[in-house]
Amino acid sequence: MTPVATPFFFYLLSGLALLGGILVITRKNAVHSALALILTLLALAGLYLMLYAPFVAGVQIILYAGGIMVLFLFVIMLVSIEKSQREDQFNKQWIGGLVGAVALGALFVRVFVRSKALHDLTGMPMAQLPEQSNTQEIAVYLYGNYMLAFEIASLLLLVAIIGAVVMAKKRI
Amino acid sequence: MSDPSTNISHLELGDRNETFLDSNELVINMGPQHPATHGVLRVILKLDGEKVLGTECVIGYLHRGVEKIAENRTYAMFNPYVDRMDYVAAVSNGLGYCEAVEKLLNVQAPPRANYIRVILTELNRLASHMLWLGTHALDIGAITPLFYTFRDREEILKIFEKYCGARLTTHAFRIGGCLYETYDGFEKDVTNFLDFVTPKIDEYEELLTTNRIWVERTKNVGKISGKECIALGVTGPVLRASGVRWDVRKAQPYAAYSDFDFEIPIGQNGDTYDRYLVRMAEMRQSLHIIRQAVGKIPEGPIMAKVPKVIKPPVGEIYHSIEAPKGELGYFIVSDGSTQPYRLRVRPPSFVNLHARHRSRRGGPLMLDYVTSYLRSNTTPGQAGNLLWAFIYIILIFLGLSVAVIAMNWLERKILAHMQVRLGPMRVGPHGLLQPIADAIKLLIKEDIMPAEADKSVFWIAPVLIVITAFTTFIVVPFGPTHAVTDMNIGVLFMLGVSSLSVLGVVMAGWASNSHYPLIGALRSSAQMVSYEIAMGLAVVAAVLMTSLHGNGLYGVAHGAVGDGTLSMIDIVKAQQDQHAWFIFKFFPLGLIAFFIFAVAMIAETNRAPFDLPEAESELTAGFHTEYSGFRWSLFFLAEYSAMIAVSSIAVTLWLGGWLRPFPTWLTGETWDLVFSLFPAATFLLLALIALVGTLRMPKHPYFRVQTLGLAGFAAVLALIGILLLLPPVRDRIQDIYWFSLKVAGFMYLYIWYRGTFPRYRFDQLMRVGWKVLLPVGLGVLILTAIVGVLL
Repeated sequence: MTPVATPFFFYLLSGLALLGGILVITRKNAVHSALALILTLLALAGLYLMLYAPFVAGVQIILYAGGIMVLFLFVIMLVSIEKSQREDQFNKQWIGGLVGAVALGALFVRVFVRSKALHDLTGMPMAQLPEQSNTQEIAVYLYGNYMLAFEIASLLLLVAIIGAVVMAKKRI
Repeated sequence: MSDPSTNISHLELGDRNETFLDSNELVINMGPQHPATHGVLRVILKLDGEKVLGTECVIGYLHRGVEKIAENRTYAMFNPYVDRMDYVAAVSNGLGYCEAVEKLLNVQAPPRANYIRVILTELNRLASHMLWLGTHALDIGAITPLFYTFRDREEILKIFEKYCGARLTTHAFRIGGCLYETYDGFEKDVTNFLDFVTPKIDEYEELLTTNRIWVERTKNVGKISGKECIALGVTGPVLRASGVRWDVRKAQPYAAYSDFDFEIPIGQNGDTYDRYLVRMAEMRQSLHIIRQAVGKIPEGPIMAKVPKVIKPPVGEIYHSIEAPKGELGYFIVSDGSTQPYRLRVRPPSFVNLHARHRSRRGGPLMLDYVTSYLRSNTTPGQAGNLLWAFIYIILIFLGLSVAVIAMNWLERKILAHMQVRLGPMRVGPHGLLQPIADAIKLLIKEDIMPAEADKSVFWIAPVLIVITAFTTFIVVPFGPTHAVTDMNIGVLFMLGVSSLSVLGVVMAGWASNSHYPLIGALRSSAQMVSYEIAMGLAVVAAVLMTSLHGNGLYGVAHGAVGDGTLSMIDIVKAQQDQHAWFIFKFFPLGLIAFFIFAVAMIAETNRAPFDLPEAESELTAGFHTEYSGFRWSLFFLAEYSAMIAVSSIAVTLWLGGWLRPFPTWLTGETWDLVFSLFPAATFLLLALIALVGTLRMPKHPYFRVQTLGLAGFAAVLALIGILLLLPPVRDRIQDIYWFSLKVAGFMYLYIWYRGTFPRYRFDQLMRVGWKVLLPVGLGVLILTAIVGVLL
């Protein structure tokens, strides 16, 4: 099977993701920002597909783009746009933001360089999971090896749901 | 809350402090031109989400100064004006006026005239109630009753027309009696009508009275107690539904009503459902009265002695009758001249509307039409063969476009036949070319974009919806090899991409910058998110079945870890291997899961009875109200392809995908041959139907082109049928045929639902989703797992 992961698609999707990310923070209209965020999320889903992780890509689309972002829009649409557009958009903490961005960037570069060096040193092949069994592997880990952790996480989410309902509704 | 009488059990008027998270109120203008305000009533609604916090009725859009006109006309000249006051009950208006003037003159209409008057007014009551029933059902989203009632109302109008020449503003009576003698065969016409309409009323009741959605939409809605009715002067069926036995025909008999035996039907709860039942019973009583009257119309004159120039003595008079909508009264003050000094009409609808206004409950009680407005609350892709993948994509795109066009025509035709009408007949034979004519019309229509709309989002929304609707078809398996690609996460991909379409709906609704689309978008997003959960659970239950071979967990006997699959093609193969469609597996678990999916998928595609995002009787057109021309048609292209897409998922997951019926029972070469002849037989049958249609075309030069066209169509169908007989084609087309046939079954169901069900109210929709489908779905999933492990 010839890989579809051509550099062209990689740069296209990454470019879209970056473009969306920038639009999220520069748009004044909150609905536009949310739509840009959806673009980013979809581009990321494409990147996951290129990494032979179809399950993660599918979940990304269903949960983030189709579920969470719809709820985001749901709330944003009801907010008076005119009011928010008049408000100041940035809180003028340029220095803090810049420092954070540089630190994160440095970390990424470091990891990239190190892993590449390690790879060249050991000559180990990149771990490659075939697409066909990727989903099954996730299932085996999730419901086999890490079952307890998975159940605890789901319990935590259940508590969060009940908590949200209790807090939002004055009378049940 | 504030006033116990205005309580509506499950949707109280919102207390200002109860609004969710301090969200803003939405002020929405309903009418004077709105699909659900029959007439020109305007209601300003204050909404908190789906709850109506308050309403303000703005009346007067139809104010014509009738009473003032009366002061400047002679008594006889004013007579035709009253027909126009309530133009669906013109006869009653005329009767009330004539009797009032007669009372003033101290003249008695002769008995024969009185009998004719009773027959015509009761017929008019039937006509008025029929119109009410049809439009009322239409506003709740049941479109079929409208066509039934209008078909039958036509028979009444025919009698009116024969009697006095008018259908709507039936000017039948004169002061002192009737102007016209009954025509020859009048009694026979009326008797025939009675025999014709009696079973029809049962037919309406069959459609609605026990219809679950109808009952839920009307029971406990718009409750009003008898006391309140009396205090507010509400009369007619509304009053009687609240349990007050008051009918002017009995209380102060007029015309010949004292001669007849009839009952006053009353209700108990005073809700919309009781008002419906009362009106239905009243229709039957009207039939009963007419039947008694028509047999014994006395002989004699039809006019009393009335002076040529009507000059009533000085005095005043009030006379009222029971019009279809309530007490219709006339108060006339005479100064002895030829014109009334003052004439006051006490119309039932105006007073009833006033009651609705006072009780601040949203939605006009005017003619009680709107129950409650918004209160309510190895495929080419896998092989990496780009060329073939491309060809498949083109084929699917073309096939889908043809399917949408065909569906467009079929929906109109089938729905029309369910509703006793013909549907499109003009463009091409049997309207076959209608979808094409529509497409051309939409293409060249002016493209309107509201000035205040968010241009870019408004532009992207329909495009996004169409893209998502078509993208899902990448993984639809029309056959073991007939799919663009097979993904390891096929089902997930389909659900994910189809869930993206809600983004388009939300974007369209928001970008239109108008309140109706916004509410449509809100409804849509809430609805999609809610039903997607139930849908997902049903899908998981089906996916779980792929791994359960009856060999214990993980299909241990096969030795492989995790035999289950999410791939669309493998799911069908699993059904093949297990010799059972999943709808029948672990009976009835598979069936229940399928049912949940079948309900959820209607909600996901915004179709009746879950078509709230575009509920035309409430939101005019919902999220696409502001769209026109080709953009608008894109929404419908997407809606129909989404319907086909979700039906494909259902077919793949539960109905064995491309597998032919009984692949294990009826095996052998003979059976294979028999089943492989089905596609050809279908097309030949269609060709035969078209041929019969050709032969039945009228033999008139005007229809020559149409006849030729239909013959050509039959020939094309027959040619396709013969082509499908060829063995190589026959074998390849099989899978696609069975798959398409199953999907077509779902498409038919969609149309059937639309012709049968009223629309759910929003809170009921949510209740079905969260309190019924979700728990049942969870239960089915758990039971499937348990049964699978145990067996």
